[in-house]
Amino acid sequence: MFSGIYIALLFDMKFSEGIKIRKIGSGVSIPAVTLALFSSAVVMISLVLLVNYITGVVDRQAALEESVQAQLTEESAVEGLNMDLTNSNIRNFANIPVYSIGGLETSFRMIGTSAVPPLELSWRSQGSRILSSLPVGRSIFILSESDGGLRIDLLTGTDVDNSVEILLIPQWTAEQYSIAGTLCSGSPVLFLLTRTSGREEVTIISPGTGSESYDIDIPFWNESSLLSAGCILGRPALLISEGRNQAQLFVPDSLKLLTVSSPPGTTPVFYGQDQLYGSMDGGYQENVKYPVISVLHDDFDSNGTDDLLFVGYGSLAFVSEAEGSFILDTLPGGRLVAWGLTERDMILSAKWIEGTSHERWRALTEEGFADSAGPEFHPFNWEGRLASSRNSIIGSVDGIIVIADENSEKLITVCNSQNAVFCQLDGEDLDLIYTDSDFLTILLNPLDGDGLILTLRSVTCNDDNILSEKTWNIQIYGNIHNRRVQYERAS
Amino acid sequence: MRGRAEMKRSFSGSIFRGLIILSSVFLLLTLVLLLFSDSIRNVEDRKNALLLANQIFSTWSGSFYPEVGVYDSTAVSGGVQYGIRRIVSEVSPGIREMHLYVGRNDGSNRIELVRKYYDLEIRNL
Repeated sequence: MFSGIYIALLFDMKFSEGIKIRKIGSGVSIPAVTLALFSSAVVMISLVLLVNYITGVVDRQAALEESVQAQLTEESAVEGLNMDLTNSNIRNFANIPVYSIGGLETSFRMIGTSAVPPLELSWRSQGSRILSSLPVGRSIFILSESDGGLRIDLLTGTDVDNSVEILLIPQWTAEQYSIAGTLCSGSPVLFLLTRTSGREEVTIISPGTGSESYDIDIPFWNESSLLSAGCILGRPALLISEGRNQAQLFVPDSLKLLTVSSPPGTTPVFYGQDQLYGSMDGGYQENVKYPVISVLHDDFDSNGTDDLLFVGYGSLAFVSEAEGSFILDTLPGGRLVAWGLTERDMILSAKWIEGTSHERWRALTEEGFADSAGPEFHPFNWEGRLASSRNSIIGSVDGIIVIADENSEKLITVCNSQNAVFCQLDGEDLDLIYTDSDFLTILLNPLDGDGLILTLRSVTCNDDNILSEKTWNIQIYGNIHNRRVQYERAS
Repeated sequence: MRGRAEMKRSFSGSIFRGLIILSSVFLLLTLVLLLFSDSIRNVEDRKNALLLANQIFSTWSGSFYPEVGVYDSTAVSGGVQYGIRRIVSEVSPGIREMHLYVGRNDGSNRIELVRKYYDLEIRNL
């Protein structure tokens, strides 16, 4: 400002020598002083504005950086809390630890808690009717009818918001179809076996490699045939069985089907990590006595190793993977109607009907199958596969999937058993997938019972300022040995 | 006649003086702007660096669990090349801390952000 005045006065004195214009007492002209003062004021105001602007911009940038760090600190804290809850490190929800990182800290305060039913996830097939769903590992293939064509989508894990359409067949005229799936080199592979105008075709579909089709000539195949997919030397392969102890093996590179056989009461299947149950050297003669209708793979004898269970209309065959033992149970004139793990001790039990209505339960013991009382606390009219947890049992009663809860003594209806399939999508516990029209529902861990929902308030702050406050809903399911935690920001 | 000539001379002298003063003011303002140009550039750099850092963190959300190590890369934003350094260290089993540094390639105007990642596959039962 002063420099402006100085310059103005200097020039004024120099150029006004000998000129008679209005001067103030010291010999300086009034217009020059006015101009000088005005210019100085402009410079002064500009300087102040600029300094304020720059300071503001710098402060806002610093606040923005702190805000981003606050968000990262908060995200880290919520994930840390998730881990601590999953590992059961927090015993008292009213005393949650403070999480700090990047010079900031996030604390949580509980503001509410309530019970929440088992987690249900839904997926919709954009209006097309769902024909089938097939869980493979942690993925689900979904076949749906779309404008006269067939659409195949793939869901990965429980991420129902990000399904991928992996194949669209515009003209779908198949008279009959069956599906089977497997994991090959970690990637889910779907076999689609179709019959169109008497011609049979196998299409192998994988999200990584696309699809390839092969014409095959199968000696037998109907809707009750059992299909089992697996991997042989890294290539997907398919077993087609009528439920007998001989099956046809389709390998894409092989020109003809190969015959695989297994002991009577079983049927050749793929299981575990690319393992084949059955012999390719014709070791077993064809036996039609004990046709198999379903094959289960689980740890039925609770020794830590998965076993195979072959379920027939009138037979139940148990194959211990660890010991290699084989136990076949049959009842003369008996009909097998329900099977699976029951009771708290996870006993492999089977319900038989002798004659027209006489119910008889048989359970696996060290000496083989023996008569038992059946699921003591759940005397319902069970059908098909059963599964249990500490306090509840899930199975089918009169065509409906139900959960019987020992604590509440309630029978909770879940869905129609026709379109339902058990699987293990999320951890080791059993999950249930069922479809209805264009909806697919994933019911996670229904045997764990209700979960707990915690409503928490998070506060992220530096030394003295609160930078972020949010409310979170934390859902806790399962037990201390297998706890699952989900969180979302409350609206 | 003499009075008119004096007035003319006085008038052109005033214009000249006015121009000189305005030029001086302009020069002064330019000088002030030059004094603050570094600050403005620094803020611009940090703003771009923050945008880059935000983009980087948003791509690593969900179940992402970084590998331990030091990783260097570069990115161009607003016609300026920025250096990006990630330092990932394991603070305890199943917990890794990532420091992200984004700034000019010469190391100036660097911002630092920190985040923790958790491996939920590790269960300490």
